[in-house]
Amino acid sequence: MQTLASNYDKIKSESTTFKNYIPAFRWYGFNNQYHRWITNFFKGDFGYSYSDSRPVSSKIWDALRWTVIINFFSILIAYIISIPIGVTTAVRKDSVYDRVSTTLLFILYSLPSFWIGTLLIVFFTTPEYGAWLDWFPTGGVTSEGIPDDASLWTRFWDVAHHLVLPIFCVTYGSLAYISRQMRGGLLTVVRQDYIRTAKAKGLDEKKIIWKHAFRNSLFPIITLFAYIFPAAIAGSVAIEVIFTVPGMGSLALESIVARDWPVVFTILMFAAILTMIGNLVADIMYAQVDPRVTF
Amino acid sequence: MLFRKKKAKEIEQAILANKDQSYWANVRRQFRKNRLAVWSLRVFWGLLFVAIFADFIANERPLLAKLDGEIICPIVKNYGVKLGVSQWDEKFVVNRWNEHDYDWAFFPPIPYSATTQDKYNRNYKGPFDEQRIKATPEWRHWHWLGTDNLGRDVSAGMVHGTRVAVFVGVVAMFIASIIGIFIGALAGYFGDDRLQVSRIRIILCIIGFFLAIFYAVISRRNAYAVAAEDGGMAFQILLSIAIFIGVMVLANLLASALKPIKWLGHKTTVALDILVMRFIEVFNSIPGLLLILSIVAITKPSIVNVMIIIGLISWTGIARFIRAELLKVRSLEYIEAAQAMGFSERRIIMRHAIPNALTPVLIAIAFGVASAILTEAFLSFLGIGLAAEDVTWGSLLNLARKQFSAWWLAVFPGFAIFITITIFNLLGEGLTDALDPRLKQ
Repeated sequence: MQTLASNYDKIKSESTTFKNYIPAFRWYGFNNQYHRWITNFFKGDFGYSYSDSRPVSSKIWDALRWTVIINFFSILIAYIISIPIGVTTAVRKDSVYDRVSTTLLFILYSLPSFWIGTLLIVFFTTPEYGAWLDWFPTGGVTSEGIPDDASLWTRFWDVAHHLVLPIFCVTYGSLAYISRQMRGGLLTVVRQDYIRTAKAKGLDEKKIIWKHAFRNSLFPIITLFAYIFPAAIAGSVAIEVIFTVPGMGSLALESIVARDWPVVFTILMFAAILTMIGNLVADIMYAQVDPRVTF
Repeated sequence: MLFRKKKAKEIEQAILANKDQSYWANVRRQFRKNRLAVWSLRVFWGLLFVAIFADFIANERPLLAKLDGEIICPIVKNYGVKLGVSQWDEKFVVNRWNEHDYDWAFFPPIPYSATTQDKYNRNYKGPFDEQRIKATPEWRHWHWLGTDNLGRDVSAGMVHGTRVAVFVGVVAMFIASIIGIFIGALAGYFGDDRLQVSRIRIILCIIGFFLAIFYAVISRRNAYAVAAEDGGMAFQILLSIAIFIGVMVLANLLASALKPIKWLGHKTTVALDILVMRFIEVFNSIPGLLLILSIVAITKPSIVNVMIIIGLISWTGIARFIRAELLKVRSLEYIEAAQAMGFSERRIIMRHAIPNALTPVLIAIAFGVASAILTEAFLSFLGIGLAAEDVTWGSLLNLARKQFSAWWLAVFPGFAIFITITIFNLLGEGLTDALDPRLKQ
């Protein structure tokens, strides 16, 4: 015991704590942690998850499927609905239709999706408030009772039934946003002189809107494209957690909480790469829509 | 005669109406025309009132009471206790607040604190359910918005949640504005061509940057590890920032001292704008929500940490706005005049350039508050970054997922979040309209 204490004192008296405050600059070349990680990343080797030792790539691949399905349909629906709404409200500016739908869209835009998701899952997925409100399954993406040899059609309906609420929740926010952008974009274009000229020479109203005004008002819509790809990963965290969809959002949250860094780093890196791809796609589409834009 | 009087009255009114033609008076007039925005502002004052006086609106302690011949004001005293300048008598620690034998007592409108556990009304009692209220009168103590699993009053939780939400918005945007205005103003004012720096300053700044990171972060790893377990992360971060700034200031002082040497003092142009904008682009390419989640998950759960982190993440929008504005402002005559008069760069930026570029920042702040509140609500909804005893709108909403029959937990807190987000969005829209000179009549 005595020797232990004296040894400790000896070590302590000889310690050179001041060395902790002298930085050591060393050049490791490419042989460092980050370079190894990034080289493996671009080779497609993302490492192994700390929590269940599965390869990160297989975990992400499983999760990506559901997120892509949800986001593909929600983006599709959002664009199909919102562009006509945006155009018609802008054309009939200050009419009752315009005021009502603008107000509604503003409310939709301000509704937090995790609140709507919670409301929907509380009221419409259990017989808690009357059996007639039990419309949808409570979370998950497939029913447990479906046999393995069920036909493709049954499986499809099962999945579709599960995904209605999540897709709705992801859709309505972007729908409101895109419509508002579309309306704003078209309104600024309609004020321009060349639209007045087109009207003055007696061109058909429909032709003016769709051929001359619409194309030029697409700019704000295209910028949104840059955000769609990363949103596919990060944007639906809340919805996936509420409806227990095993997608990228849930995976990201789970791994962050469990400090499963290989998974977290890979997801963050992918999200960053997707943002850059989104920016690139948006730039290319700018040039497509407006020939004056050059790089 | 009659007409002349009317004419005089019209002129008088016109003079009164046009008394103030300054920019801000115009803005205020435009803003007042927007009824929704004006109402949003009123609701905001209401929320601010609730946030500041939350302790006096929902509290288990009486506002004012006479006990054993002594008039007490326990809510105010509680602030003293928290600050460590006062202490509770033993009877207050042993007995619950509603069990004392008061001569008379005024209780707050909601006689429960956010953390008061009503043991008779545990396990999700709704507003219309049967509640066992022991105190009289019964309607005063009724849980009008229901209770949660521990018997905590939801209305009290909502009042204290208002405080959290408003403070998150204000603190986060305060931090974001300071960083954003500072960086954006530098980038915008100096642009790519105006920043002339001596060689020695560039060299020393680069070396100083690495040294600063070493002393602020790397050599303090142990302190961070301790803080992650025991709390005080906010203090550690602030200390790190202070050390960082200190080292950079030292490097710059040294550079000033070495400047007279000819080769070292040679001036070169630094393309500050490009550097800042590329940095912002890199910063923005990481999804903010995932970044916030990652940082919040590794720090000790505390709402103050969440506020600081949201602030540290969301400055880029403000920086871009103020940069764009200053790029315009910097070539105006009055800035040139200021330069010709030999004012220092700091004085021109702080006193002359920034005040004229603040208008778009106001809009960004209004929308930023909305998104900061939404982010905090979302984080506490996921149960991240929230100490166990904290009650916020998000944490109340989260409880609804555990008990589907408790509709009051799903409806009320979510509605509060929705209203708050909406009024800040409306304020942002109102400001956008009011500040847009094209719409000026």
